[in-house]
Amino acid sequence: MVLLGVWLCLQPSVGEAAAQQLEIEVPRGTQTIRSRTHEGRAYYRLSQIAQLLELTLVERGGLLEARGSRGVVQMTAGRPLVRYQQQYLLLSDPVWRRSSGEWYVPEDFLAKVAPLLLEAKFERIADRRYQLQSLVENRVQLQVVNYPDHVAIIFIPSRRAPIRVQELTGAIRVSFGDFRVVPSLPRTPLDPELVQRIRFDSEDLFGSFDIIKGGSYHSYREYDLSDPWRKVVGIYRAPITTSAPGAATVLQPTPRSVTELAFPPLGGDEIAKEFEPPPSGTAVTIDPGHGGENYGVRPSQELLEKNFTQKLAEEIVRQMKGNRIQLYTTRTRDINLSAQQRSSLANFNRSKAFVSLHFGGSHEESLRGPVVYVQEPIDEPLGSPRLVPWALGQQRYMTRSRRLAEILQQKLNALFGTDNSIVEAPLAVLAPVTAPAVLVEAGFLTNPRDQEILRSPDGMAEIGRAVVDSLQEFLR
Amino acid sequence: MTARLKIIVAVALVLVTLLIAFLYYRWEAEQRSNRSDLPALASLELEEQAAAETPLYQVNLYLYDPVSGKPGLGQLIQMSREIPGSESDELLGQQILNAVIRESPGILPPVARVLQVFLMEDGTAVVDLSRETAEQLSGGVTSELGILRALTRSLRENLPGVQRVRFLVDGEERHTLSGHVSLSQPFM
Repeated sequence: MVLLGVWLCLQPSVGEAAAQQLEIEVPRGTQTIRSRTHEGRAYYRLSQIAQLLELTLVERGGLLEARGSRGVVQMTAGRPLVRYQQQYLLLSDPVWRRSSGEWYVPEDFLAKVAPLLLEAKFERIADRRYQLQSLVENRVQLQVVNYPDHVAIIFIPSRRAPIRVQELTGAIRVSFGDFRVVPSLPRTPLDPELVQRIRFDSEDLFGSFDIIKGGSYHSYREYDLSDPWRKVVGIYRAPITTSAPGAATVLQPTPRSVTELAFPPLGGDEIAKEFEPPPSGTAVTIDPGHGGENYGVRPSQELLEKNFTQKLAEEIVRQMKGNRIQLYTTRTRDINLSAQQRSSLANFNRSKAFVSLHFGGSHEESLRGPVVYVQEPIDEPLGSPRLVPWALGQQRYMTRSRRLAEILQQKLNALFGTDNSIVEAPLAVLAPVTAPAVLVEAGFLTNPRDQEILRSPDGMAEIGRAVVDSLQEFLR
Repeated sequence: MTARLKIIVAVALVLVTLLIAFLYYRWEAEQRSNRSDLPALASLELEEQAAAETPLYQVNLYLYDPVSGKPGLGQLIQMSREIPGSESDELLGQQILNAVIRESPGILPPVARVLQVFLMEDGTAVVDLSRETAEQLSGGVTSELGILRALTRSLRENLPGVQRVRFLVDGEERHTLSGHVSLSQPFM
């Protein structure tokens, strides 16, 4: 009886999974870690993983710190969240600390957390099989050639590697895969109007270059050259155009990095002067919603909301010509801006009105027509009239925003033949705007009748006309 | 039986008794620590396990119905459903919200998931939505707002201590869920 009791205590409980094992290939051979089952799931002993990957484990109170050659993470028992720098990584199961004091982690610790700790490439190569590889160096030499209309930045790597060039809000990022980059930055001075500087970002395991855009940046082009193989990134300034006499004042934000415009720096007379807001007049900011990798409503590959919002903004700009209203748009190209950047521009421009352009979408095809949204009141005291919290900027303008929304809703309803009403919603792009502000969904991209209007040039022109007329009536 | 044999048997019995007591103590401690881990567990496996093992519990789900009002003014409709009960309110909340998601096909993508629900002492519930929920949410302002209100109402109605709901995406605070509706303030 006694022996039976001992035997029962030692047996795993009913329903527990069979033990699994992980294989980790390290430079000195393949090592195996066996799992221990807890709550029906497989866990792996952290001290064994740490020994293989040369991590240091330090336990303080209920907190365990795992330190590698490149980074540190912290975790607590019973929580699936692992803290890394300022963010939390979510594991599939909570970290488990046995009563004996041993720490155990689920398998995805190896895939999600371990690569962040190591100065080497650590990846999953098959089911429950991982590989640790030291990284090969790639010496990348940069050369710069300044031309009248562009700057050519030439990347000459010692090893040919897949190179990814992507546009960010304030920079062009050039990243090299599979190798650790050892940079050799250029000595030739850069044209500061086009490129402020080239920064090497070593936070990523492989390393990447950020070409920080200058005030006259317009676009970039990338191409390859051979013998020796090299990648060229051309940074171009805007083509010079002459405007017809008597043309309307249509101002657009200088492409001097939207981020910087959105958050003007404080202090320093010279810098402050450069970022001085425009003189107060009748300024209106139009915000074409979405952009870049943020498509918005997408009923098909051809119908992307971001393209329709940009088209409508262009239509409004065209129809505003000859008008005394100074018109600003938050974006003129296919880039994604955060809601904060969009509302920052409205405030920086001292706008008298802000209109964020969108189109609706629903799996219910029957929904149609325009809907104008205004900010929902936030139940928080405003405090000092001189110091309004960012998220409460719209509070004082709600009545006037509603007035603008009513005019827009009425004109757009007449165009679409609908009787939709304005709607209150907590909208990130409207909440901080210190001016009458609305968000317009000018028809549903998912409704066939609305699509007909939106896809025809006349339809888009008429919507643009309704917005322009509404603004003029509101600002009169 | 000699006196010496009696002593050996007695010592052996004492040792076996001590061993049993020690093993029982360890087993009991492990069970206790497992029980205290329960509220924090986020895995779907646990949810499924709960579904198989526990009795059903009737809840009122609130679902967003886009066609019950004018465009932009979709209403919430109430629906009774039976879901597995749970000792933990946080796990129950997660099951309720995942049931709302399951009952909202078309509005939310099939991969949408509530990863975790935390209940704070001040009446705030923190709901951690999966990254796919935000990335693959189709529709405009109305759908985004509709689903957030449906999740909020379903949690408030079924867990009496919940007064407001804050949303995270993949464990992180975000300005918006899918580009429109602000997540910086809690939903009531």
